[in-house]
Amino acid sequence: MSGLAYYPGCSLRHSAAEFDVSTRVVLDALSIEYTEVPDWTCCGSSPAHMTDHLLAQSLAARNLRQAAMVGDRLFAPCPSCHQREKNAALEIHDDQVFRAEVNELLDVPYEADVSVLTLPEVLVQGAGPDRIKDLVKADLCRLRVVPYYGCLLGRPKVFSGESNDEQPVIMDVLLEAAGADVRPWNYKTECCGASIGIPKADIQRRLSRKVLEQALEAGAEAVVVCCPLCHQNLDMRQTQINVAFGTDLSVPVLYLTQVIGLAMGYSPEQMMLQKHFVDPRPLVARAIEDAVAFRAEEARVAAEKEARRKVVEAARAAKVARRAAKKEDSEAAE
Amino acid sequence: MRYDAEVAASLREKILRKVKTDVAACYQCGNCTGSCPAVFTFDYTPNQVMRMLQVGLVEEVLCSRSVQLCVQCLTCTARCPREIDVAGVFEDLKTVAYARQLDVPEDARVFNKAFLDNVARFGRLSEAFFLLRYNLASRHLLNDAELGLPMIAKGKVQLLPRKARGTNEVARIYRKAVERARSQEKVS
Repeated sequence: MSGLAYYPGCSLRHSAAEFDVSTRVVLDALSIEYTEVPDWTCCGSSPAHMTDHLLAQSLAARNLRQAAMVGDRLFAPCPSCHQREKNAALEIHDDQVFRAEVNELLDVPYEADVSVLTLPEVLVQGAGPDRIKDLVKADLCRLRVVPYYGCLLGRPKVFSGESNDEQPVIMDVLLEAAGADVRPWNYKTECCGASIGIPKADIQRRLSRKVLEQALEAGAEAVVVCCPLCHQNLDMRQTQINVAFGTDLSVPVLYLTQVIGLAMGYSPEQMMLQKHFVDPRPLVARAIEDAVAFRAEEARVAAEKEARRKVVEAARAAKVARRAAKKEDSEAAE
Repeated sequence: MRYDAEVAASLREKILRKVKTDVAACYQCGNCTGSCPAVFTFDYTPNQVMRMLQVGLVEEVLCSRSVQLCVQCLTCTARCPREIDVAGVFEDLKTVAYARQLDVPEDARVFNKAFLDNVARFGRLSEAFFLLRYNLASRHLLNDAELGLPMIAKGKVQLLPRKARGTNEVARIYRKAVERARSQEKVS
């Protein structure tokens, strides 16, 4: 059955509800059709694959089987869910003996070959940057952002579809299409600490602090993520980072789909920016206001330049006319 | 520390089979260690772990903090010039430690168990219940307590988890997989 199955995953139901809502809004706006995986369950990440390989692959395979009921492709916005589903799909599709082992654990066997995609892949393949550009209504040219891929959106490249593990570009492409001012930086794929923030807080605080500080260093005012766990570590735990290090960080962290939605003219409330711990709304409002002033100034400078060009042109035309007249005069005298 | 060469050799063979990766290819360039974001908390650096596996110090590695504190960011795997799936080796070591029911450091066991029990009970992770259970089991009662109220206020918490359809199958998968892993570990 051809069709696109949407696997939201556990985080997107509650702690990252804004990622779910903005994803659906953006997909609808781009007319990308999808169906939620019927009766999906947890992909098991990451404790399942730290506990037992067959357990991890079987939990993921159950969702692939459910997805096969509505489509032949599955996408998961959460990179951790995506990685588990993709990992299981590649191994099971490639190895029939292993598929049989997995099927022994499932109530109903998984017999299909569902391919697994990331959310940015769906946006690029299903619509493309030009379609996004066509739908832009709010000018975000003054919203200075860095795209933060984290560990799993770009690594390993066989999963992510990127050509380089160290320099993924798919978020850059989408954010530029949405009109944001995308800054280059060195921390695109550095780890924020992942789920270690719960049992070993000091690792997470240190790693996430570095990511936030490097974003500021790169001239960005906000970090754009595509992962509910990165968001949790950078946004929800930002106060904990400040307490741990005596820093004074206040960096809004936005989901990729929220930025695209804002560019398409949806309100900050529709994109649920109020759910974030560091409120991005003042920044977004200021950026959009700035853009109006920036474009007005751009138009003024362009008009001035045009006026200057006209004056010069007129002077040049007068000079040519004078020369021609002079030549005529001298010719007449001869 | 000295080790019994014969025991070490058999263990090494077993672990190499288990990890399905040619750890022997490691030539100690240190790229993995240089790239590791969590190495400052490790007792053995990733390249040391590779070397220890080569010489058969498997038990020491299995019970190390390093194996449990690896965050699985995959940077080491991406950067290994010998194409060793270093993070995959760490992952497999964790699963061996689990199947053998070893007493591993850093609450990793408690964390993973609290998570998987929760998933087996509700089908989907109930984040708030999981955190509560983890805090109780690890005795870090006030861990992240300051986030509780703001999260509830922002509607980021489901207070009453409901069982998803498919939960029973998930619970069966969990039970069968754990039984299988433990019985296989006993046989081998």
